[in-house]
Amino acid sequence: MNRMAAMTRFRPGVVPVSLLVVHIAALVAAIMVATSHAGGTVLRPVLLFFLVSVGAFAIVWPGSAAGLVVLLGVVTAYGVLTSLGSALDLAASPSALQVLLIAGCLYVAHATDALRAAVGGAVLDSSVLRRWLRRLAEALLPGLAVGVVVLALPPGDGGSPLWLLGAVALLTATAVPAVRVARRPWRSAGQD
Amino acid sequence: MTSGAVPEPAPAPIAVAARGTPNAVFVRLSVLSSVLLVLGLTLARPDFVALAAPFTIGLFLTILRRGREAVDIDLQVDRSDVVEGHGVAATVTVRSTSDLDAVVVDVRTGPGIVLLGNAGRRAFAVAGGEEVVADLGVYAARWGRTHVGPVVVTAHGAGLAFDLPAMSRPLSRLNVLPRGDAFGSEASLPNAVTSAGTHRSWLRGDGLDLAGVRPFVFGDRLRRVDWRISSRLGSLHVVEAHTERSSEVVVLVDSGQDVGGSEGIGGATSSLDAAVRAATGITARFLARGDAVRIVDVGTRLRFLRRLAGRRDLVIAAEWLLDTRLPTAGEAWVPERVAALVPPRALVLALTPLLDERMTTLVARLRQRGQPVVVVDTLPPDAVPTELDEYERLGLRMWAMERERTAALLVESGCPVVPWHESGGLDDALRALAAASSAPRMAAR
Repeated sequence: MNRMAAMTRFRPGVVPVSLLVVHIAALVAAIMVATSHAGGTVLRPVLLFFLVSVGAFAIVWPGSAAGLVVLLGVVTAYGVLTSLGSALDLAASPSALQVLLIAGCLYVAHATDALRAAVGGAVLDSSVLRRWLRRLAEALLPGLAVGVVVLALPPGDGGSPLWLLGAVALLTATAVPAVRVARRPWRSAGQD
Repeated sequence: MTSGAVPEPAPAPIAVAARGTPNAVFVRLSVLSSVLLVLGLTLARPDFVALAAPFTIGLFLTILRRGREAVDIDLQVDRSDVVEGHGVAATVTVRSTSDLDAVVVDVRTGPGIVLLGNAGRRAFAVAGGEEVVADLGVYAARWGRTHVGPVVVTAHGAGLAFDLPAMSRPLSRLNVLPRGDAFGSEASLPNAVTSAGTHRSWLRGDGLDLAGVRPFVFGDRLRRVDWRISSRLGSLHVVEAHTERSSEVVVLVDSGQDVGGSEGIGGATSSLDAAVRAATGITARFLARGDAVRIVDVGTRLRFLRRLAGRRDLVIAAEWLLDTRLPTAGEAWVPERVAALVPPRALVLALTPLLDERMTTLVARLRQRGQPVVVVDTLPPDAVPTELDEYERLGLRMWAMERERTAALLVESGCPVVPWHESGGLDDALRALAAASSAPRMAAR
């Protein structure tokens, strides 16, 4: 099959700017929602300062370690605030919808960062965006569905084996591929 | 214009068959999935598991899609010679056995080549078993020896989480021949030197142009006898005609300086651009008329092109002119040496911005020995800066006066100075030279 790539579909610069906007919006939304229940405490400005600083690096240099750091930072901030909520006299923990919103925004930020790192300032054919959106939807929609199921179950105090089973299944889904992909120096390059 | 040169054989496509290596995207997916799931399990927090779910599923799908990709890329440039101002059909073909989410083609080009849409870097997706042909939109904007490529292709597969090794396709050489400026002179040249051609020679002999009538002498052909005049005058008289001969033209290209911006066809034209395009146009015109042309490149180094005759030699001239450039080092030429190499009676057309004193000296030497010379001023009108302070304006004025004085001295010595961009200027100068060569002269007795 032969296909002539329609290179004039997008003008140079338009798509990279759009991706930049999506990247910023997703990161900002994730940061704001993850730190929202810190309310007016001093902790929130500190967390915002840290996350926005690292996020700026991630946006300026897509594909760098800053992308991982800012995503981990958002998750850590969320974890710290929800774990120490009662000790710090914070507002109520985020709702299930907010958790799903954080998960969605984090994944969109991750996927946008990946695309920006891959294509740089290139003129994009529409096929790249179509494929990217499909890959995004293929991971995000089932992921959010799993999240809805997990969050809809009773709180995990050890007495609900169903969500624990789901978590173990997801962990397995992570571990198996990681083992498959792991480098094996004892194998020659030709075999892989 | 076509070239008789044999094009270089196209290199074989470059093929890579390998598994992609995990990149930062894969690391991010793995770390986030692991950390969130471990935290969710150890702290019994379903919200962490919900946060991990998209990353875990994304990681799982990524691994599933990872295959052994066999990719090959090919750069095709349909010709090795092109006239400036024209496009070249250049394509990059990418084939892959498995899906590639983003194939980034980074095309580098040599000077004088413009990629339409400024798309030096472009990205597209390739489905498994598919072949994508990307038109590079190459436009040859300025003459010179240049190249398309190298082309560097980076491919990302399996949800952009795996990178294939970067593939580089070597460059394709491209000769961008100068587009000759329009020059359609019909003026006769001052001295006809060779045995046949189109110019009216001042020598008398066989030809069509009537030169006069004279008494018959031994050796005249009988068919030249004009019987009517002979019967009227009572003795044999013959009709004389001007012979038709070719001329020899020497084109001096002053490449010692390059003044003004050089943006290719449609943009700013530097003095060297003007000289090369003028040389091409002049050579094309005189070769088409059957005259012989020699080209001499007088920059810091000195280059000669052999005597050209016939339309086919225009390609040789155009390719030779491609090497006209500002030299960084070389022997310093002296006017006397060049003057000695110019054939006597040949018409000399000096294409120069009149910025090098040696060029003026050379023209003066040629005039001293009676050579017909026309100076074609190639300094572009917009080469002179406009935003100047008081001292710079003063300096510019002095420079302009000195240049005008040089031109006036050349004109006084019988060498017309005409700007190349002025329509018909060179034609008028050639007519004036032809008329002057046939005018009566005072003989020294």
